[in-house]
Amino acid sequence: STPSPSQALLALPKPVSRQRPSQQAAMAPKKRKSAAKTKTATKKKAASPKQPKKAASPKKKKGGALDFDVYADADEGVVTFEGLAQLADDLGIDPSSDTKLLAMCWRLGAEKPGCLSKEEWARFAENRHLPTYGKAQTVSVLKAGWNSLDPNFLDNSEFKPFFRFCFEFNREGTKRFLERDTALALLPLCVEDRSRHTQLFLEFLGTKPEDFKLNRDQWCSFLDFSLAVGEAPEFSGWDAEESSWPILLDEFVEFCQAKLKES
Amino acid sequence: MLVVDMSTVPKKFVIKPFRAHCQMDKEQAQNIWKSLSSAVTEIYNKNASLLSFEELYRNAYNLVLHKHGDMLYEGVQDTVYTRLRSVAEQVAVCPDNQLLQEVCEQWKQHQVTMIMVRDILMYMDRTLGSVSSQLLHNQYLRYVPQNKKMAVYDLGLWAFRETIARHGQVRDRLRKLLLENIRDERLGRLIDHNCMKCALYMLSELGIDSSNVYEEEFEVYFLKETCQFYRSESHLFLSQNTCPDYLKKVESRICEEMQRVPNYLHANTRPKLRHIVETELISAHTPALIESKKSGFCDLLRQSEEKMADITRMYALCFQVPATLDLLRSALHEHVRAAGQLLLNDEMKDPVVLLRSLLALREKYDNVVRNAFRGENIAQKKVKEAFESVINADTRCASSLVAYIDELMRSGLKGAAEGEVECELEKVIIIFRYLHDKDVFEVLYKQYLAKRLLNQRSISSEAERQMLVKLKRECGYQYTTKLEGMITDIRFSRGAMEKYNTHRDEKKMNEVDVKTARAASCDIDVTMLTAGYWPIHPAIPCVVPDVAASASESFKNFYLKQHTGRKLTWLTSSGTAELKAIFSDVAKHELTVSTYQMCILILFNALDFGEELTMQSITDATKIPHNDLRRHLISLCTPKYRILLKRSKGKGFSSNDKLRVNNSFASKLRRVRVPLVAMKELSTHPNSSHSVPAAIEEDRRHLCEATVVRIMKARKQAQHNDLIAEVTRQLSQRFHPQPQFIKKCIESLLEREYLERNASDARLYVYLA
Repeated sequence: STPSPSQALLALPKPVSRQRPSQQAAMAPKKRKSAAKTKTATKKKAASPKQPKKAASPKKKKGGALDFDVYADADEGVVTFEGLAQLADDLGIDPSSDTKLLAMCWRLGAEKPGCLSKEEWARFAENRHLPTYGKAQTVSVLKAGWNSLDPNFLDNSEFKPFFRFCFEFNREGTKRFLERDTALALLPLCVEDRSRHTQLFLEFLGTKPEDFKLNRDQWCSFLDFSLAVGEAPEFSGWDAEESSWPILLDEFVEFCQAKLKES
Repeated sequence: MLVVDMSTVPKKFVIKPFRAHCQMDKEQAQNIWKSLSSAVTEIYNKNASLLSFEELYRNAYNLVLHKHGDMLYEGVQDTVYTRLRSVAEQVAVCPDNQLLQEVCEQWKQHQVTMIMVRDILMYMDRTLGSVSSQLLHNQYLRYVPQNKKMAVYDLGLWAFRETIARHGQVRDRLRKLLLENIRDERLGRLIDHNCMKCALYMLSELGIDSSNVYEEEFEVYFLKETCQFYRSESHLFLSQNTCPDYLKKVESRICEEMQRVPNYLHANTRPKLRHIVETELISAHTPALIESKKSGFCDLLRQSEEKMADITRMYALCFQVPATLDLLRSALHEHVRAAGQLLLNDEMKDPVVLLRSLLALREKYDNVVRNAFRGENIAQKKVKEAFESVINADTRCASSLVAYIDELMRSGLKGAAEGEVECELEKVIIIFRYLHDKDVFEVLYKQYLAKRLLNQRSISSEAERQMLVKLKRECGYQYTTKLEGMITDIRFSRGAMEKYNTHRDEKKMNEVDVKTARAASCDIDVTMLTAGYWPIHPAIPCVVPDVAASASESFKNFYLKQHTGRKLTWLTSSGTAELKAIFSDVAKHELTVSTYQMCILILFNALDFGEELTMQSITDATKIPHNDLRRHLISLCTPKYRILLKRSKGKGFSSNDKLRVNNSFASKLRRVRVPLVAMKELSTHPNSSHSVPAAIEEDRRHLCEATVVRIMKARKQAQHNDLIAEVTRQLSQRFHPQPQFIKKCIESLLEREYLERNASDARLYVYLA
């Protein structure tokens, strides 16, 4: 069975009860998938209570080593969303709101969406940007240096590839787009306060039909657009005639202008 | 070394200047001056013939030689002034009606006198270094030393100007008279040109020492007056007369004014005068002339055949003021566009009629541009743009054009000479050139061509080919490949059929029982169409009657033997059949029906007299698709061609409707051609085709994407704007893509990773190999 990650990592609602590692059943992801589909992520986020760390994580008691095998899915030989959620749990963070987890995957150089291979996992020891570099690779070391992963520290030129990674890592398997609702949840988290357009843009996406899909060009262009184009209603730097932005962003500007005209 | 011995230098010679023996004393000089002074007075009194110029000259010479030059100069100056003052008194009291003549007279007199005086005093002029007025006017002026004096002649001019021309009672009166005279002439009265010329010449002559008397005293006022005169005249005239009359008036007015310059004005006034007249008469009124309700330019254009001369005049006048030409051209553009729009507004108009009127419209304005606008390029372009905007407003013109060509090919060109055909087609091509949606045209043209070729409706294959040659010339080889292929198919089919017929006849000769062979088979005429060239979608062939099946089988064997490796598929959905039908002893007819109808009708042969078939059983036996079956059956049941009778009333068919042969069918004609009822999808009614059909839209997308990829493959990377421009350029031969449309294609390619945006410049696309 190959459960495909149907929802973005950060957009996932937290499972109501965490499965123990001893019970690493292949069935678990399937159950969660069906449960997840019925709920929208962001709303759930605030409501779901954090789990008590110590009681929930027996691995930690074992010394909290960042062993690949502990987090990897036995059947697939990679760390899936399951394992990442487990790790988040061990770190005591909320995987649905903490972009540092994505930043970690990015630093590990994850190539395929939604999973980390053994090779990639091994980079904990090799990547200078990871807190565990050259140190004991344990959960506690990672946790101690966790804040250094914050993408807010990145300057724009570094942030761009990270932003692109957010799209790549959260899309489904071979698909080249994000579903509308996933994008709605993911975008504000990833872009944080680098865009002045986020609120309006989310509102604009909300007017699109539910089966609307956001492709990579649109995703990446939103960041470029945010960095290059001034705030509504002037949108300084945006030229209707010569615009090379994706049509979606042209529509967005029109949407904003129409909206401002109304009010 | 050179040694110079100073002692050997010879003694110097000194040459002393010649000394005059006798100095002229003051008294002597006074006497000589007196004689000279009286001579000057005599000259003034026109008694010069009594004087000896030689003597006077010598006297003046002597005076100057003996250093009495200054006295001489001052004396002359005095004499001239005194004289002119008395003249001025005389002129000042002259009444208005004689003043001009008097001034001229005095001026002439003064000129003559001064020339003589100048001649006498030539030596003084030279010695005192007097500077002539020519020099005074030019750049050497600043090198004239203070003590140099004015030449005598100039002195005279100066004196004349001060005493007479600027005399309090002369100056303003003179100017007033001059202007009044000109005004009179403009109002059509005769005036004394000589007098005018003389007075104005005088003014320009008096302009010594860099002050331009002519300009200051006359020209400024004259131009102001002219401006006012024409301003009021043009308004008045235009409000009371039609535009063509006004134009004629303007033409003659400009002519008059230009004639005025050689008559009595200074040549320098010409450009200024011209500018004022053109501004007041043409520029100021161009908008009004164009828009004027009753007889403006637009109105003239409407009736351009009769009013060509007026339009030509309008253009000629505006041609002199380039700024107004643009207004004229824009008006032409707007007018043509509106006229075209008016034609298109009639939604129900027959496409052929619509196109014919468009052609007439084009011819009309082409004439206007050629004759009235002197065939200038800009106007041509304006008319072209106007037509383009009309024709590309929707796709109706494309379909109308195709329908028009179809009409030409089927009947319009009947009996036309070769030159006429060429001429007609050339007109059509001009409209085609205006068309942006050339791909829509192509699709429609193909449909009509297919119909013409298959139904053998085309009158001249030569004309068809000529049309294709023209299209190829416009749009390139690719555009017509398939169309040419269609015509070639038809030609090959003819050849193949001939071969087959001879082959079949030979075979028949060899048959033992000729009679049975003939009964068991039927004649067949096959047209071979190359798959992909024709706008016909292959359908599953229906079940044809045995007799037709064997004939087609025989042809198939023959054909495949000749062309191995080919595949033949029968298109039973098109084609016709001729049937001999015996309805009763008296009603025997030859029916021309479609292949499907033939299959249906043959079914009834197997039945008894009056027996019925259900629709379902027909479907089962023939495997004709349901929609086609309905259409072909309805065509057999129409009131005019009621070959079959159906049980149910009304137009519809249900699957268990029962049909039988109408034995009482009758027609005056022996040969009956059963027409097919029109299918809704096939109609080319203008209303149904205002936007581009979806299939063509799809083709456009592919074409656009292919173009983008081709360009990017060659360039590797390109700026957004460059790419859009290049794609537009390359595609404009087929259709005119909107930038938004191209952008959509680019985005689709970005998504499919043919392209990507440059990481640092979002406007730069990079080709991904």
